[in-house]
Amino acid sequence: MHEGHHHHLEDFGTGGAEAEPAEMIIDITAVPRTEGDVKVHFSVKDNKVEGAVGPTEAPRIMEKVMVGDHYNEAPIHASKFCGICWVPHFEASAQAVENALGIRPTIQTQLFREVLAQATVLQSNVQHATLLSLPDLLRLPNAFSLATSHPAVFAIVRKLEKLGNDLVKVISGRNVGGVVLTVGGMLAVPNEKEVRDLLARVIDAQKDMATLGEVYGSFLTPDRLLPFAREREYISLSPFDGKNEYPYTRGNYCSSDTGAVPITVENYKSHTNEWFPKASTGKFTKHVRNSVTVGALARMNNNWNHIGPEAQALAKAYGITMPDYRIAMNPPAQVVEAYASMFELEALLETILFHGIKYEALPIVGDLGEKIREGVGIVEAPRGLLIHHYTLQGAYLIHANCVVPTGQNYGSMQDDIIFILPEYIRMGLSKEEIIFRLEKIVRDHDPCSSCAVHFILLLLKILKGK
Amino acid sequence: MSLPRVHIKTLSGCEGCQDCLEHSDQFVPLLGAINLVECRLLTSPVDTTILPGDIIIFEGAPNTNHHVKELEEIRAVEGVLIIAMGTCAVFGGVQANVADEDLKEVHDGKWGEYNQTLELKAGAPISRYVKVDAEIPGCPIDPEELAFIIAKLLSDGKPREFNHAVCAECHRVGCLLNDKELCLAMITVAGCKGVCPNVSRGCLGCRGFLPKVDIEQFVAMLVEKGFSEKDVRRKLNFYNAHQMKQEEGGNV
Repeated sequence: MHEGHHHHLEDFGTGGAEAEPAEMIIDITAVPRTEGDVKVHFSVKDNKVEGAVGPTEAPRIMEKVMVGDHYNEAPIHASKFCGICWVPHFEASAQAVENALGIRPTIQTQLFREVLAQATVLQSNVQHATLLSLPDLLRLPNAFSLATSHPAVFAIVRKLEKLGNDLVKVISGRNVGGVVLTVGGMLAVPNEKEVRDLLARVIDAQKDMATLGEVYGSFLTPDRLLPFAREREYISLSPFDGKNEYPYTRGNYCSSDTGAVPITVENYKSHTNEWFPKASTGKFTKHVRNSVTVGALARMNNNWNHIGPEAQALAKAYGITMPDYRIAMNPPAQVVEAYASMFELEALLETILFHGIKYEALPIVGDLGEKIREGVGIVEAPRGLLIHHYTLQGAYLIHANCVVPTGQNYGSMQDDIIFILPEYIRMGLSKEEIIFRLEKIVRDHDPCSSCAVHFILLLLKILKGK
Repeated sequence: MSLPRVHIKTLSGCEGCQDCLEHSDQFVPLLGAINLVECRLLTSPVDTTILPGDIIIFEGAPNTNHHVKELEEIRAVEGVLIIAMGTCAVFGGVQANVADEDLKEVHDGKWGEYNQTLELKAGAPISRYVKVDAEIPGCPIDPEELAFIIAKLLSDGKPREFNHAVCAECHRVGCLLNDKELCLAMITVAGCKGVCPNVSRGCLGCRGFLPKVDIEQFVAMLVEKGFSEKDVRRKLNFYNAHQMKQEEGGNV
């Protein structure tokens, strides 16, 4: 365990007899600066920690809403799962349908989908690592105070976010819930001038991203990161055999414990093992251990050799080591990924322009009859691995199951808190400091319960024992 | 003069409208005109206290008793303005299209013990439970329209009303319905700039149906054109299941 710096005891400790309460109950009904409602409830008695992390938002049972959908409507419903991560939901959904029907999108469509995925990583990772997570490192109340205290950083963040947003808007037709994307291809394509303008903006923003990367690095001191290492199982995609790519839109299922396998309709459930805990509105997953961890740090651990030398150098400058079991390094890993995506975006847009952009007719789907077909789609959302599985009868869905990133990460948040809470109590940290650190653990995972159910409110009460 | 206090709250939805707003060119100028006291995505701590005269923007549809209670409590505060943002808040949205037998599964505990306690129901318009001062439909919303409506509300103006069909904003040569693509543009309230039919995607009705439309006649016309009634009704229910249940005389 990474030992917290001793001066925290003096800074935040309550000291004296209060330092070791006989019993402590922590009840956080919703964590701010996260997407969705996450509840944190733990009790500590005689150094024994019991409790849980889970979403409390009302479920939207979208998997049920999708039943009855025509296969063309499923990806539209999927892109309503989460307004922030609608691109990966669309892609997982379209893939599931395409795999069920045996359709393969054209190279051009695959390239545009990869651009959308990378643009979403740029936008989402930058937003989380700076606006949502940086206030933790700087002990600021929120993103707006960041605008006052670090205006240059804030300006770069807005610029990069706008770039990510505009890439999505130009290619998909809208910044949320793109209208041109569909099963098998695209209903309309952007023109070459639009794509050339985007390419010029990507190249121009690379130096902004480098500046952000450098400034962000200066904030990463241990007294701010409060890192601790807990050995864990990382789950992510890994590239298909023989490919050298950092995978977002295609690849094998990869566990840091058991290695990589191609995912199929038959085997995916044995890797996700979804279950409903007592105090949660969303599903949890597990694999070979009690919990798994997904997201940027998981991807980086499983795909270190594929992220490119520039990004590796930045990761090393941030103090990321391989393997890195410190969840506090997840936001820094997000910045590294965003940095890498700026190079990927340049290469992808150049490739698209080199081949020339043309409108391509959608693949023709013949009469599907009443036959039962199944398909699984698997992608990386910025927050981690995402799986959609559908069963179709003819052209219509009769069953849908979706495994979302945050559902996979709740167990990890819970195990991190169970691991570190006794240490925080032993250190004699104050109520406020413990609340802050537990919220930080939740936020470091970049949870988004919208996907799992819907938004997070964290209200923390610590009641001392009698 | 102090700036109006604004809360952004989420019921059951995807937060795409909030995301759209926060990434829009209108957002930063808007922050200069309002005091955003509650927006969990961006602020910590959040000020959830509702004071007289506050503006509360809701996204998402109410689908639990807790949501309904929250709406009623906020409405009871003197002089508050409630804005319903997005299709879910205005019409119930995609989560209104939940079958009774699926809700029963949740009530019976098949979706976990915690969900069983929530008394989950189908999503419904906020206006089904409390009076709403302004409605901004769209999945997702057009942030320009939201900024415009806030400006109008603050200056006692009347928000713009759209009373023509999406067809008026569609530039496509030839109607999608003639190309065997189901499209609800003909009966749907405009204001979206025809973004879906303009790229040959059938309109799904996210801005709601025009008030004087005879939906049954529309269904009959499409069936005559060769579409299956099942397909037509599924499209009508995509965002507007709450209204469709009412049309069928259901007590929702």
